[in-house]
Amino acid sequence: MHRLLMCSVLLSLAAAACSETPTTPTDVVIPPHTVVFASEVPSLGTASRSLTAGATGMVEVTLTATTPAGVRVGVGVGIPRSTASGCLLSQSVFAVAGTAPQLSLPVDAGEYCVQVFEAGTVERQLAFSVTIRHP
Amino acid sequence: MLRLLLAGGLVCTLTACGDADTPVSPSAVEEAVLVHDIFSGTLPRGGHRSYAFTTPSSSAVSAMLANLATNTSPSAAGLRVGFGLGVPQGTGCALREAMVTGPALTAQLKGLVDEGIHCVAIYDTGTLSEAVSFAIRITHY
Repeated sequence: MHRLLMCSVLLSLAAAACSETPTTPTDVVIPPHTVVFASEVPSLGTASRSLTAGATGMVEVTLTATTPAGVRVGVGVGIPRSTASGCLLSQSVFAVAGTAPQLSLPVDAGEYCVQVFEAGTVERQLAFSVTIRHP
Repeated sequence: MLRLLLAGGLVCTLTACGDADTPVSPSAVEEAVLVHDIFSGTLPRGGHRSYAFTTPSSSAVSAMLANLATNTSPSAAGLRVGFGLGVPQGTGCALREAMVTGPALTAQLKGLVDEGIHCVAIYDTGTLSEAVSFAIRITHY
């Protein structure tokens, strides 16, 4: 009787091991990446940096600092040129460095670029720092 | 006898947990490669431009009008142009789907196409006051 009970328990356990309890699906959340793009541009020059969005989401660009300070600088987001360096801009703004994003726009997954361009307000070099958040 | 039957049942039950499928040798499968084409150029006032591309099999296609620019603005976000997807016809593109849109970094046109030659077109709907440069990213297999 004891053996019978043991076998029965074993069979029940084995059968239970086969059953898969369905779980509630959860959304996969991809944390945004943060990149700091710090460089210099000459007067009327441009500087660009590429980025890869791993999923659909928002790209936020914040011009956080310039030297000299208080200068209005062009900042844009676009797609990289296919044959040469540089960036074909989808949206751009002229902005002074601050803490809130000056540009925020939705993107599909893929390759993009951020460009900083100087509009002739400095005589020589302009140093800048841009923080980019992307999916 | 009873013990034998129970043991046999246990073995059968445990075996059922495993994947009974016999592994087969992998056959050669051609992996589809995602292609990104960039079509860029200048759209004259009142004009149109098109670009043909080939899909070797049925494919999802997306087309993103990413950039419109003028001589004075590297990103003319306020401009609107015609933008469509179709099949080449003569020297042009017979559009199957079209819209009036501005630049964005999310694909404005998406669809499934058969194997063959397809095209995207950009055209002035009568709103441009000067020529604009443009860049379109086309993604397909």
